[in-house]
Amino acid sequence: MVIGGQNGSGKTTLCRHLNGLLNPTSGEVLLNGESIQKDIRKTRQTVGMVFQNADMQIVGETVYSDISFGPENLSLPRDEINNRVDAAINDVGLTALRDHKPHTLSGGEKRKLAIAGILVMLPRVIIFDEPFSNLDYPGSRQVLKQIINLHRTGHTIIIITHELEKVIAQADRLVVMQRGRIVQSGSPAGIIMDVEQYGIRMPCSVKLGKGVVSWLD
Amino acid sequence: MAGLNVFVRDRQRRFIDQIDIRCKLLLFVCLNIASLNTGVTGLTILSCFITGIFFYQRIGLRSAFREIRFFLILLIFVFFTRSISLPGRVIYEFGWITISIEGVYNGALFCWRLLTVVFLAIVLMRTSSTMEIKSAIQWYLKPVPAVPEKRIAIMLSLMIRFLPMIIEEAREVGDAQRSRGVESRKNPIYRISTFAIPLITRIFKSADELAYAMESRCFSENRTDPELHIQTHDLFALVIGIVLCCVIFLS
Repeated sequence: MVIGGQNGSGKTTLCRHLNGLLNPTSGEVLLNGESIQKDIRKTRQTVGMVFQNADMQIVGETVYSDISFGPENLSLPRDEINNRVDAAINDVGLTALRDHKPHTLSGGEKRKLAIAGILVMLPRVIIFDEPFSNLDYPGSRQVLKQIINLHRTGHTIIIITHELEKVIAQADRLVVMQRGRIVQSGSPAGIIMDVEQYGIRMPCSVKLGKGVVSWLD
Repeated sequence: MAGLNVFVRDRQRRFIDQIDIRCKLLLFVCLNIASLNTGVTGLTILSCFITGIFFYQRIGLRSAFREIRFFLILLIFVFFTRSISLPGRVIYEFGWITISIEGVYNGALFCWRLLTVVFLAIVLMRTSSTMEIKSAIQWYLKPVPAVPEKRIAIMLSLMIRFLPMIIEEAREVGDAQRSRGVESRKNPIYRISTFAIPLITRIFKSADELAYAMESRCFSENRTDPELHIQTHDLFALVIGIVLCCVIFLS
């Protein structure tokens, strides 16, 4: 699912409610029919969040130690942590960089590291906040391929972006937000022609009459 | 990037990197105490030791001095204050300001001591991860009753984690201001205030983001800590370090 909207439309605020980083002033957020506040630790394991600024999400001195940060917080035994980290690092293709310092990685690799830091918690839902910001074309493609792989392996993916161009071809559902409210929700093909009235740029290929084209083609 | 400055761990497989963090922290504290209670001879021995470690660990002395340049300004201020505030044989007099030999000697010694403390901290941070330091602090505080050792250890490790980030933020703010010609403004109060306000704002924003990121990864006080083992080479390092502390202390 892609959540689009111009700056200040409330996309990030909405998503921070989904894993309990923010609490609603009214109503409640349900996960599998239960309030997410009931077991916040379980919620945060089930709903992982990859932040817009990957640098701010990195807390470890090496790729390996950063990925192990989450399972260490869960007080898992060391062997279990090592197994999970090995699997996550392999999933995102950073095995060769496991002892590297995070700051030496490229933008795309840093984003992959942030994803591995979430995958290691074994989440079912992963939220990406502006996953393509500050990334060049190869970096964006790298991250997009990773997101598609995650979706294929059974993860529910929620992407927050104002750049529909890069990801709309892979989306099953598009939600448009404006001033903190959902103003459109449905299949991308059904509402893509209306997005510009909400301050989101229509994908170039749609403007040129070629329909929705994937960035990976 | 934050990781490029001298305060960030450089994971090598050298002897000092492999010393058990509890021994390393103990030696760090002992050497600091020794440096605060010694004279010129002791400080000379300690400075030679630190310089040797810098070369051995391939830490650039020049880059270290560059990173602590703001601290050096503070040291100059401390030196000047000590020079004019301590009574003794006057070597210079200008109005109500008198500089004494004892003041200069005392100020220089005090600044030298502080400098060795900072350089020892650079060695510790360069050769240990924040999580290791946290584990060691937690280990030492555990037997102390009524002390929340995990909370204190986490607070200290977060402070260490934040230091390179703050230095990096300061560098970026400085660069941005230089690119807009702040050097043409000679008023130091104006320059300090225009530098401090955006820096503090950025630090708080970064801290907020980091807190969110850590919280979303289930951050808690009860974590799986790194496994700590004391081996023969740790005891060897401890004995050598304690002998060195005694030599410095008694010099």
